[in-house]
Amino acid sequence: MNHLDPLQRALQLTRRRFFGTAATTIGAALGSVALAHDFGFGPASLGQRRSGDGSRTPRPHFAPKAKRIIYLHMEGGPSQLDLFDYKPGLVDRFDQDLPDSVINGQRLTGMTSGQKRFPIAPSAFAFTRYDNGGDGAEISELMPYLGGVAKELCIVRSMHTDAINHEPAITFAQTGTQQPGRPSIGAWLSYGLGSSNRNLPTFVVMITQGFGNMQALAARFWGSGFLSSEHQGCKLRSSGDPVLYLQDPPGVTSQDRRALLDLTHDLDAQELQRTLDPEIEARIAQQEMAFRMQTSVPELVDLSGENDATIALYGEEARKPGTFASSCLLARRLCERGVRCIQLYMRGWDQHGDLPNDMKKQATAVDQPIAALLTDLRRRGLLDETLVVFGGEFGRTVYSQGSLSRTNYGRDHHPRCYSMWLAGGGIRPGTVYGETDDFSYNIAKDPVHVHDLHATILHLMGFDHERLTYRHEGRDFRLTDVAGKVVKGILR
Amino acid sequence: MNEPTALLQFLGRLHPLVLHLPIGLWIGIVALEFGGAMVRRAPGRATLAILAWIAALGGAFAAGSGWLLSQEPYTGQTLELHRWLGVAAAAIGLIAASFAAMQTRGPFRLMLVVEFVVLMAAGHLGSELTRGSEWLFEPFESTPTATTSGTTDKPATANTFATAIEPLLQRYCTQCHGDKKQKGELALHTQALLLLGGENGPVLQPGNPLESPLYAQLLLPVTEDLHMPPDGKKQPTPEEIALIGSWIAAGAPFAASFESTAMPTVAAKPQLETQKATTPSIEPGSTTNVPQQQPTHDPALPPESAPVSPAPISPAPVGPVPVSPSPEPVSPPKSNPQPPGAGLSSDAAPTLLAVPPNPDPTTAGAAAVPEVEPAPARVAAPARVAAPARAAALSALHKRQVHATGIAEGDDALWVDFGPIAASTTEDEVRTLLIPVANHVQDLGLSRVPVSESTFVLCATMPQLQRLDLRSTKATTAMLRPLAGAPKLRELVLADTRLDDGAVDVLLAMPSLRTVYLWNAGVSDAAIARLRRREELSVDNGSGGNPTTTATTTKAAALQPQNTVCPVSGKPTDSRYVIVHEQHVVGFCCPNCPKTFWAEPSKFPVADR
Repeated sequence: MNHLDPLQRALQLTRRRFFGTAATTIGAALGSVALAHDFGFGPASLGQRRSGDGSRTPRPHFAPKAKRIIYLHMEGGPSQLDLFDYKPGLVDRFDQDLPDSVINGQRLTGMTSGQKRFPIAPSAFAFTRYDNGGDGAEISELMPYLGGVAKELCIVRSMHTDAINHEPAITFAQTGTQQPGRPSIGAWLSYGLGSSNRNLPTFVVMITQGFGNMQALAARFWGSGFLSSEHQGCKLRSSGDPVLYLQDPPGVTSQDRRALLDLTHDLDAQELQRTLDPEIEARIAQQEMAFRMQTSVPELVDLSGENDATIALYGEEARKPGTFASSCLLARRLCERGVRCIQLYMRGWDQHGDLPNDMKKQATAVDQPIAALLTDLRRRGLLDETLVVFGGEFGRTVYSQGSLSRTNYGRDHHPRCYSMWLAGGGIRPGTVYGETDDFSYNIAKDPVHVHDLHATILHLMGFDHERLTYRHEGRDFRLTDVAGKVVKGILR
Repeated sequence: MNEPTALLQFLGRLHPLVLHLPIGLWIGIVALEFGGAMVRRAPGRATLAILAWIAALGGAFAAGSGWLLSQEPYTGQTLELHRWLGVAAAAIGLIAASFAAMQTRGPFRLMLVVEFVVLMAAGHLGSELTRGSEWLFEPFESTPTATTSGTTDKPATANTFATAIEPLLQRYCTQCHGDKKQKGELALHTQALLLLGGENGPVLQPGNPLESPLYAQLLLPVTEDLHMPPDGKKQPTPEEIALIGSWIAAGAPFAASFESTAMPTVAAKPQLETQKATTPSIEPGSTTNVPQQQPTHDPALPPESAPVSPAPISPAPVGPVPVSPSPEPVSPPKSNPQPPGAGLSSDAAPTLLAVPPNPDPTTAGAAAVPEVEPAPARVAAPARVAAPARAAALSALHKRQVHATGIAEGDDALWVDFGPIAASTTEDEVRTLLIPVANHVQDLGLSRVPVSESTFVLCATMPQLQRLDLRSTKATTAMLRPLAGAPKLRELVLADTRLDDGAVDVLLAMPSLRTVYLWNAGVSDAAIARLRRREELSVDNGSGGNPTTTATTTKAAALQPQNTVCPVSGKPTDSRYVIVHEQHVVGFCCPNCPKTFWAEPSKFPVADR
């Protein structure tokens, strides 16, 4: 790589790239060639330094409390009123109109803004106050297993977000902005932590189909945006081969595949020299990883080494690929194999109607596996260094959407408040943080914005959210944009 | 000395192969010549002549190859004698063969006798060269070296260079690196030469075992070229390696005693516990008094001209020399001077932590040791690996897909995790990859990785190691023992391993341990209870959080408290206000009573239904 004159290299930039990347680029490219000379780096160092952040080597800013994160995203927006935000006073207000002073002119979705009245729907579920080593934590009967591990949880009842519909809200929760195109949390972490030579991706995503109303899940929720595409989440498929084309086709041996890759890399390297396009080096890296994944992924999904007691902990469903239980068990196995960001999506939490029946199915599917995951991580000594995050993109309204009875009702999207919980690495266990008003409509104490959550997640992973930046289109971008503060109250 | 070319080197190394031919043949010829006469069936002269010529030519070839071999870095008097005796044997052999061919019986017989004697002498010296002078008669000696291994019940505090280290060097090293032979220009049979090192520089970095080839090369897998002693030679046990590591960690004192940080035996346990009780927690770093400077010998000096101290060890030990012939016998604890400023009472000194004494000038020799300046008590900063070496070591780890990364900016400490390659790695590979970065590892993940006692000997000498993850390994209690010497180990994950109750004693002996995970580790509840008695230690054995049992009962009984009367107010319970307390479902009358109850549950007895 070093035989080319740096000036020649710079001159070999295509015209489009030259004008597209401005003068600073040339300087950086020259500088990086010099660096490559000095340290014997291959072309891999070039693209990263050209745009983005020229100075940093991937490692945390300070010693992290959590080495990895498991983010359990409940797609659709589970009802905080039926899970964690216990409002016993609502029972007496059954079917009463929600006071206008509470709504206070705030935006509603088109699905309920035309309703003649907003009747209060108390939860149909009983709540239990579980011993969490502190003041106790109220969790509804939908999640009894989770109650059993309440000591690990820090429930945040005062989350709020800016978006009111699924698509922008998930985009916001995952990328820090409502518009598509920014890197996701996992991609930012992969960028910050580095993703050098591995046999599994840094960021892995798994999706479980739910029972209720399901919204589309776009791949950009775990995309890398303007970061190098090697940082995007790798989705493991729920049926068949976890990764497509993992097996060599009949008649092709591993050596054939290797020879093909070597040839492709030679060609790619030539093109990279010519264009200095970082996407090419990302592709080279990804192809190499894909080659290694031919052995590492089958080993990952082979559960024969898990004993019956472990399977029983997660539930028999864990043997069935694609279930949430199986994803939780795989999440633990991914942790053990060095994967740093693991995101599980559970679809189907969008209960506009028939909420009690839908939620029972949804909660049953996730309750035991999640509790099992926490228990399993705990006893294996992993939980103290693994951050587990549970939550949806927003909450649900206290008033019923559509008809209301004691046992059946629906709830619309509600961004003003919702509940999440965090556990593990660096989180203060056995706490309940934040309060909502009597109607779980507005936040009464300690609001936590999505940006604050992101800042806190980055903090626990060892990053200052204001310093983890990437230069793109002339400005430094970060996950928390221009906002966000670390929520000290939930830290250990 | 000219570097021999590869071919010459190859021919030279044929020496051990070819030399046996002439020896055997000459013995045979002697037997035929003299024995044949005795049984009156004298062999034909022609037969003898042919055999003699084969033997003579073989001898010439053996002598030639031997000469070539001697061009490689071997030195010493034995070698010189062997070399000339060999040449003489070859020459005499040729003369004898000539007489045999000429059928002049008298001179042939004379030369045959001379050849036989010279050949035997040369052969014996040759075997001394490869095996060491003590090798042949060693089995008859009562070897006191056996008592120096760390596994004996001898109190660990009595270790000194003379009683613990020197015998090991004699047992495993000085045959090739001693007075007879100095492979690699390294000799280890006197203190001065030990400090001087060999052609690749010093082998000893007092206070820093991992930077000391004398220790680190013992730890390498035996398949590595650099592993010492070489493959095929007698190998030290992990305990003995650990002993050497402890000695170097303690500053490599020649006179005073040092603590063996390895292997608390069960017998030593009560002692260890009382020590813990009476000794305030001492940060190992603050008491480790490491000489800052290398011995400043001129490495250009040949070993012979190095200043040899009037060392307590005789320069040419004959046979195993267990007892130090020092004029001033070293009696450990008394002659153990306190490190200046360490501020330790003499009671505190024999802790598990290495408290290195200053080299005692009166016994250690004025020439060699005083150059090692006793630094003021300070934190033993691990010698920084030069940046390129560190980068190379890291890239070797990365190339193998081992996770290895700096823990934070501006910090040398590393997190190294072999988990990603656990399914495909070996114990040897792990050690080979770890040794170059061992001084920087703060957090080490070995979960599911093949481990052995040697792995833990290495871990125990990692000066920064704070967290060690051995989850789902085949670690046993016996393997674990060396870890008791790890100076900063705070957190140890032993979940899903194959320990037994004895592990508790090993854990109790770890000075800095604060958190240990013991789920499914084969340690009984009683033993865990004993471990929990140590207050600052947090023990997690996976109990108390099993949701399959607690939560199912909870679910069934969620709306069914065991009481009908609120334990706080005495009013009837309301099914909405229910808590789970120590696996009992308790009902209350209102949302406030549970808070009162929670504050002091014992004050509110719960009446059953």
